[in-house]
Amino acid sequence: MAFFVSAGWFRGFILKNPNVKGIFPSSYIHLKNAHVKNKGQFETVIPVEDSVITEMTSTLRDWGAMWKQLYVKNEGDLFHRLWHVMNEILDLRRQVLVGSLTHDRMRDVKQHITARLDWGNEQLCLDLVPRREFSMVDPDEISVTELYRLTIAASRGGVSAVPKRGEPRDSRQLLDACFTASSFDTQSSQFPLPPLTRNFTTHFE
Amino acid sequence: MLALDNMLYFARHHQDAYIRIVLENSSREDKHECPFGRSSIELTKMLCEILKVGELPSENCHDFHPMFFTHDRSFEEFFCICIQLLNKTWKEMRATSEDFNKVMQVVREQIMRALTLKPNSLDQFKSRLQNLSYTEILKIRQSERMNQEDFQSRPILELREKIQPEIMELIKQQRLNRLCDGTCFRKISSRRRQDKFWYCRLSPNHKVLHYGDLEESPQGEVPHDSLQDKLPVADIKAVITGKDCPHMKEKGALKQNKVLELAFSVLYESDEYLNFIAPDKHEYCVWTDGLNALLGKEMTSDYTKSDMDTLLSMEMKLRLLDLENIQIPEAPPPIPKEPSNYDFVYDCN
Repeated sequence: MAFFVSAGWFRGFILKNPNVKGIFPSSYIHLKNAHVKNKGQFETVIPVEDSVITEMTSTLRDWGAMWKQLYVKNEGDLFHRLWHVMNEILDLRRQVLVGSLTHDRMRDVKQHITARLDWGNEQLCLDLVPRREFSMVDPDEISVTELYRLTIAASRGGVSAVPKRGEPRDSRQLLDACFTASSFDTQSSQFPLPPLTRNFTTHFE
Repeated sequence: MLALDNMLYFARHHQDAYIRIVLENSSREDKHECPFGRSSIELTKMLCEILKVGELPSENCHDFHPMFFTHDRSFEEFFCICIQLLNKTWKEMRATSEDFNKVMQVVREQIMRALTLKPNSLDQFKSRLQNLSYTEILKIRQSERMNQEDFQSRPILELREKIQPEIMELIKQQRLNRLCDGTCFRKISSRRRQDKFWYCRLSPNHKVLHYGDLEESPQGEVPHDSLQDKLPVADIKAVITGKDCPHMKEKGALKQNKVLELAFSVLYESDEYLNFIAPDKHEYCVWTDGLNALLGKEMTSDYTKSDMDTLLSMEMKLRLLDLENIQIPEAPPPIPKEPSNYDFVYDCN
């Protein structure tokens, strides 16, 4: 929600439906600190919390919708496995939020979390998230080649090649081209090119 | 000053342990050393807080710890045990100096928990502490987190009620999708000859039940066209289950309990029945739920309840993600008067 303050009321909107704006009594609102990027009409608001928490929150929400669809389409096996993983992530998220973890333990927990997030994303055919030190990298803040290197590292770390998400439009094609190029230096003796390009064509817009 | 006294006592009376601790920590190179001085001071402070040293004794308090009467210098002994605990916990947590407060929190919890059991001697206290290692504390915290999810407050219950119909709709869709995929059933013949198979599935528009005999158990999907008979859903009058089913009332029918639980029938045209015996409980529940849903009735199987539970609790957790650690009041707070004007100003700074 974005806040405009006046006399006991806040004006703003609900994230699910950003076009409808209304006023909310301030006694119903709990304020959370946040960074505001790009102030003005097109600002993005990111709460002040460990980026892994933000990632978990949004990933869990994305998965939630897909998980319900798995149920309706009767994909019982994946439905149950994902249920376990989601519960695990919910618990890990709570551990991180409570804030009583030592640095070493926090590192372990983050590693565990990112492994689970990557597993779930792969199972649901969502995109591979490039990471540095277990946090999502902001594609706007790093160079394209750095992004490429991180992606290759992540994809070689056991997760099979899946298409990209959320990359800035300009670097996406370059990245895709780099990705197909990298397929030449994998250890597999066969040409891995056909499956990779099949995955990519669906994502070119 | 008390802290220094404690440290001195520890050094004098438990020389081995003291030497060990100091050597361990001074030779660690990796920033994981436990700061002896700082921890002694903080620990002494904490022990005074826990034992309410320096405060006037309360008239109403019934707590007393027998172990403090067993030794002349019991407070110092207590300190010695606790400083060793702190060092051990520090190592278990693999803490660095930044994590100092976190370690203190854990040690506090360990001491409090050991004290609630009112050990009779300092040795007993020590052995209780041995059972409360950091891993134990983690387990205790995890089970507390699990129990935290027992949401009973009014706003939570209201939210649950609100979401319930949506989830019920999902369950209904799932059941109907399963019916559209269809299931292979066995015909139990009273003459105990070889069992025959028949297949039944719902049409994609949910208007017709297609069914027909099969020669053998199907390997994959059975298309509608291969099923000879049809039953329009609109003709279905009721769904009967268990011992009320006509095929269960027949004289020669198998009356084992197992089969009774899996039997259901569809009544159509006032006296015609289509009899089913489900292959297992899951299919039984799916079919009875699906047929009830087609008739506009409530789905009442055990599986509906458990599915509802799973789906609803996960949905609740996801919706309440942002409210972690925030106290939700029992009653809605009062709504203030409307603002005098609707000119809201956005502060860009």
